[in-house]
Amino acid sequence: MNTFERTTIRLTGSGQIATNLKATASLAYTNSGGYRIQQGSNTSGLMLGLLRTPPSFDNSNGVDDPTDQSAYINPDGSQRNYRSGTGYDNPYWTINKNPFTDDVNRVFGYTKFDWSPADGLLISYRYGLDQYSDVRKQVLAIGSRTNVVGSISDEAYAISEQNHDLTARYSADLGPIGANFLVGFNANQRDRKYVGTYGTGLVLPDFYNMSNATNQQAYESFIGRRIWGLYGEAQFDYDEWAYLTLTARRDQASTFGDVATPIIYPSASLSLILTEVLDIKSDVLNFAKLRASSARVGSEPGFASNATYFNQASVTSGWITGASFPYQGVTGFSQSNTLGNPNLRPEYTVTNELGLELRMLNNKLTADVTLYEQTSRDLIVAVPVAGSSGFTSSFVNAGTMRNSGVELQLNAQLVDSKDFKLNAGMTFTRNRNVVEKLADGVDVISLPWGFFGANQRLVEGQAYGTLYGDDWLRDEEGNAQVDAAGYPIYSSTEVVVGDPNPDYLMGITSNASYKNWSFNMLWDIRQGGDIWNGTRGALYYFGAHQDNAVLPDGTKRGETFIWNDVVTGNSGFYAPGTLDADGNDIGGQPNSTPIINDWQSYAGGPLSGFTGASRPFIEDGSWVRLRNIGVTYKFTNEALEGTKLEGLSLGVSGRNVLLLTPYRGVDPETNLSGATNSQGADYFNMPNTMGVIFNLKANF
Amino acid sequence: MKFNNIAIIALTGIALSACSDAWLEEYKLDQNRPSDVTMEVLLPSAQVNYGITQGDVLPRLTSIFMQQMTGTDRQSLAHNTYSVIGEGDFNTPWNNSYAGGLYDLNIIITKAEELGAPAYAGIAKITTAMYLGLLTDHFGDIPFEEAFQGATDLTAKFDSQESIYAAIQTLLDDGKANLLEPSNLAPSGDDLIHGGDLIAWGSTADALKARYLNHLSKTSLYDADAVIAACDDALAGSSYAALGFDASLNQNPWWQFLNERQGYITQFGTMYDMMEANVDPRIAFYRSADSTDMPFFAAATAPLAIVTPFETMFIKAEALIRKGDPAAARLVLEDAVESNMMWLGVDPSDIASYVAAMSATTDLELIMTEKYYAMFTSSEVWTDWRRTGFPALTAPSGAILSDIPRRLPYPENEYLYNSANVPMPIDASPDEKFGVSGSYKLWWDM
Repeated sequence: MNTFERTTIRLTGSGQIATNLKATASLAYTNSGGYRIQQGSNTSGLMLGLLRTPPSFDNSNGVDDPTDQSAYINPDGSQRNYRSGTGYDNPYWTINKNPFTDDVNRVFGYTKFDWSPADGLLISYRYGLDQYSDVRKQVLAIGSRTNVVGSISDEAYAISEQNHDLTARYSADLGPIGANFLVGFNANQRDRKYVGTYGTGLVLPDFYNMSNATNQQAYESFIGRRIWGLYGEAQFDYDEWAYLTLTARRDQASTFGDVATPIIYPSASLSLILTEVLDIKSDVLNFAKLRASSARVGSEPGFASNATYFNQASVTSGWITGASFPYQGVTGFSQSNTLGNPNLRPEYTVTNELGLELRMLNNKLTADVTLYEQTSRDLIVAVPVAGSSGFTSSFVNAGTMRNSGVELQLNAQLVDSKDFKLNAGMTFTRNRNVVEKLADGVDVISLPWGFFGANQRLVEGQAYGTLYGDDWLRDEEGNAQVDAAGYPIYSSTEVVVGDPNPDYLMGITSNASYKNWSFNMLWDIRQGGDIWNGTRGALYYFGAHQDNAVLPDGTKRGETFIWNDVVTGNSGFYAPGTLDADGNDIGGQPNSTPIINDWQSYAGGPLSGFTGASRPFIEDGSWVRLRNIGVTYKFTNEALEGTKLEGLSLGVSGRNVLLLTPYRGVDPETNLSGATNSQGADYFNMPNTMGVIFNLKANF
Repeated sequence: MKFNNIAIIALTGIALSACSDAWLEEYKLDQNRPSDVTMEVLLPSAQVNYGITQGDVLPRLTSIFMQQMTGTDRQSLAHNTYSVIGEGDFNTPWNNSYAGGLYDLNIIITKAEELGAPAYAGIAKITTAMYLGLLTDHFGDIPFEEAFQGATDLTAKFDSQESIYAAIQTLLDDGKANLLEPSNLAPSGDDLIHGGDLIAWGSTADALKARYLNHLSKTSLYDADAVIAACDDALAGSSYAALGFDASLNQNPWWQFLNERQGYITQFGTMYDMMEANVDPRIAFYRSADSTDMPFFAAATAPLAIVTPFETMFIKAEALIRKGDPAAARLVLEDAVESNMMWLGVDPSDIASYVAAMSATTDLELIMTEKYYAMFTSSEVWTDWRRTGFPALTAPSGAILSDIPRRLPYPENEYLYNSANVPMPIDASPDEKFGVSGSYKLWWDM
């Protein structure tokens, strides 16, 4: 019942308006939208209700049709769930009663004029527009667990980007040196306008117009950015085996405290066709190109970071909704907790790259390898500060981060005969990231998602987004300390528990064709990348996980076992001063006290995600995935004779068909905080989708 | 000819750039948020902020410590044995106070001086004293003198609790004086607590003076006469101060917790055992028949009491007992119990029978035990227990600390971003962090 639909119409045309003057225009219109379901860490989320229901309660009440009301509504109209209306929503209630719907209308196009007043000179002007409106509605029915009084959220976004580019190009031949010059001017504007209403306290059931809400709050905001810049490029080639490109750009942006602040970025790149330089003419090595480049790119601060404002007042808490304004009919404002900085400078990233491209064996084997090192400086960071200053964060140019790595691409035409062709390719990327410096006096910045006990941070000297969490008390050798009852001892100090960045990523493709049939396959491989399996930690508490029935070592529910530490592999050691039943000091000895596999250890003890440490729930998120597999049949010209068709092909492909992973949750390719810059958390996220796509292409 | 064209383009570019600084300036500031506001929008914001801070995580934890309710699910279950409580839990109340309410009150005081509006300054100073009292009774030494410096000083030093207590009394006295001065501007509807009634604010300030003077009972600075005088001033006026809530949005924080986190806390424990033994008529108001709900304190529109006359009466009774006058203390004690029960809505005949059945010996234990019942849902109960040891409570079996906590650890963000100034080291033992042993107990608890 989760749906998403999209329709696109596109028109493109061009014409010669006058001698030397050509005009092109293109316009596309897209309408998309759907009906979607709540997920993630909230009481009304689908997965919380689904997984936390004990197996003895049937959420579907025996019916097959997911829209059948008898699954989720009692005869008296109240919600039917395993806790008689408290706890979490019945997933059937969530699907049927609490949808998110959206409708997006987008216009996207450009118009371009090309004028060639003289030989070798081309002047162009291009205006591009991308504009869309996004209207959304989220309803929570009366009786839903996150808001028992019901709520409606109506939001409308009007978003646009406009771009002007005026360029002049000139090419010249100076003997063996070919030269191309470009000079240009660019102006870009982005607008994001938002109006939203939130209503709670619904009265009429199943009626979701804002007039039905006893309490209504409205919001509006505008985020915008304007940039203009001048740029130039000079490209030289010598005898068609050496190429040199030099560029420079100077921008100004509206988000600086002083709009006259320039952002300057130069770059240089050189490539040499080695087979020409070294005069290699061979069937084994057909082509070799060496490239080297160095580029600096700058960017401007985010909107509203150049000043300190007052916000509409609200008080939030991690435990309750809190309070918001207007409050009892009174307006309230509060100084923002973020200190703006009118003296921010641009951020700069310098990338140095070295690459080699080879074509071998009569162009049947190609290889491309690139080494890169990228250093970002003066990164604009909302540095957290101690609350006693009156603020909780402050914008500064502070961070330095380095990314370095290698990218490799190989492609081989294995078979190339008249009827049968087979091609295979591989890509490999390995990136290492280090946060070299945050800000003076700041060693740690927390990233968006996170609770006490499981969160993600930027830490000096470590990779971006290191996972932090609470752990067991450990001795100097890293062994867990246990108490006399055989349970590990909890430590509330958070430590590094994992790194969500992968060791490497690899893709393997294969294309084959036989006569009119063609076949393709894409494998996606990720090695490394830790994930916090918060879902498993929570389900241990409820006794609803597979392990609560039978542990991986075979211990059944109700049987006893000796606790085992997943980090060290041993069972821990008694803490100093631990006394056994006879009063003897067993401190320092290895743990040999059995504990029981039932609620006393999980909900009543420290072995669940809610009552104990989060480190045991960090898992390896590596995967091998068959991303795409498909087959297509192309009709021959003979078969199409007599029809008006010039070409016709039919195909079917499967997406996300197979997943192999040691991760014990739904899918390691998941992210609790959505499309943000944090990753590595699974807390009742939805599984990924698998799809079948049918394809028909006809030429007239 | 071609160079002429390049020149035209270059000149066009330069000309376009010359008028573009104005084009960029139009988008520089956020037009949807003000850079400066009036006191009348800052005051309600600070008051609601205080109410939520007083009614959210702090009293829930201290009520569990004082065994007035029991955690029965998730993290609250662990809280019974003082487990899964760490520095990270206190960032929110601390930051909401310092970067939210207290900072806004600071702005009000500055503006009030500029605009000649001492009415606003008075209320802001009294509310600042309320915040400081709440924070110092939980965390001990806290920043104040160097706080709220923003970009000038991002790392404030922590002032001793003794100096904070002195600052509280100064703020209350200065605030009371401000309220009597003529003022160009005065709050009305924007004052969510007293609706602009400056006389009521004066009485509330007296009640707060009494409370914080009384907290010094274990120190040599305790002055029973000063306490009694402040109580009398407060009781002579209408000192009752509370924050109100609505039914479908901005509900009472206890209601929010019991509804959004159902089952985390259930109403049973040592307090209820003691009340049942006394056949206390308040039980039906404190908990529902199935013990899951708190009918009086967790109704959606239940007000959050900040200062009540019965609290002041209990303080006066305690001061009288300390002066050695049990007869006078008895009269005030009975008034306090009656006032509390009438506020709850207990039937007058039940009130009379309860008071008649109270123990005949008027001593500190009786007064503090009755106050323990009456101040339910306030973290004042924890302060009173730390000062007097009444009622006698023992830590539950399985507790991960050696005894009941006597302070809270400092918030994690101060350790991360102001570590040089935090008085307690991050690697202190759990017993030390919670003030059970070691040198980090509160100054007035030594």
